[in-house]
Amino acid sequence: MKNKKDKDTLRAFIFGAIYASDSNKPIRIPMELTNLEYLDKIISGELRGISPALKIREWECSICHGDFELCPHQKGKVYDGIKCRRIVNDMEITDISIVDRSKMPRNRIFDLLIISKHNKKKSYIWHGFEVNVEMDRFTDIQNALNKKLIPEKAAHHFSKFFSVNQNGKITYP
Amino acid sequence: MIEKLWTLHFPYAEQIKADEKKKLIDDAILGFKSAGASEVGIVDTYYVSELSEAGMTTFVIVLSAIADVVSVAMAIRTILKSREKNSEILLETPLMKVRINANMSDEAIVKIVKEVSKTLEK
Repeated sequence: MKNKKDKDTLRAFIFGAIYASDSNKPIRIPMELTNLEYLDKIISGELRGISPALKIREWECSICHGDFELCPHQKGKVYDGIKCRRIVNDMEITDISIVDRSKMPRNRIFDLLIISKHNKKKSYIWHGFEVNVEMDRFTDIQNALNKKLIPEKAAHHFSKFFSVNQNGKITYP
Repeated sequence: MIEKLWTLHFPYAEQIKADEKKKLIDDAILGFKSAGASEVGIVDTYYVSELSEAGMTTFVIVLSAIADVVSVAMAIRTILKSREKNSEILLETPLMKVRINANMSDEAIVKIVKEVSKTLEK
């Protein structure tokens, strides 16, 4: 009889970005996909958008860098040639939905990692989709390595592949 | 009657400033008190941004109160009447989020609050 720990498993992780405000600094999300029924739709491109719900406690003003609630500046108005933006300061993601296309197109899945375990051996499949900037892919691979989702050799293998291929699918071993 | 937490969402096209936020909280407390609720207190306030609805920010008030269903319904009606900028409030529980707008009848609001109340636990 197989030990519970030794049974064959399939896990999937999505990597992407969430732009929480007018800021250009995204929040990176490595997240385990709990419903594996979505896998095919993500791979086919039917579902690639990320739609998060955020709980925000504080906003910063891009003009005075103070609390946006307290400062006199208005979002969208131009002050001395600079457009006022509000920047999220203190937030938590309460929910993430995977949708066909997010209304904010930059919020989407860049990468999909599938880890399968068969007869105690793990194999890894990395799907690289369209990214916002070239470094997104390598950041995601590094994140996967930092979170010990992939071994160092796999990270190196994937990075090497994506240094010559913009998008695509690569397996390890 | 037991004390319950009521989570009220106020949708705004833009983020509100501190004076508007204070007035909204005061209106919410007053709405509950004038409808006969007791032990009314603010537990938490925050914003919710659902990025699928670009630009839409919701200000959320989590309020505790001892009140029956009719009082809560009347409180929501009173809050909506006192708020020119808010034509609707979303009432949230761990299981659902329902929309109550200013055009609804008292009976319809009571019915919604009754359903919401069943899913609430203190």
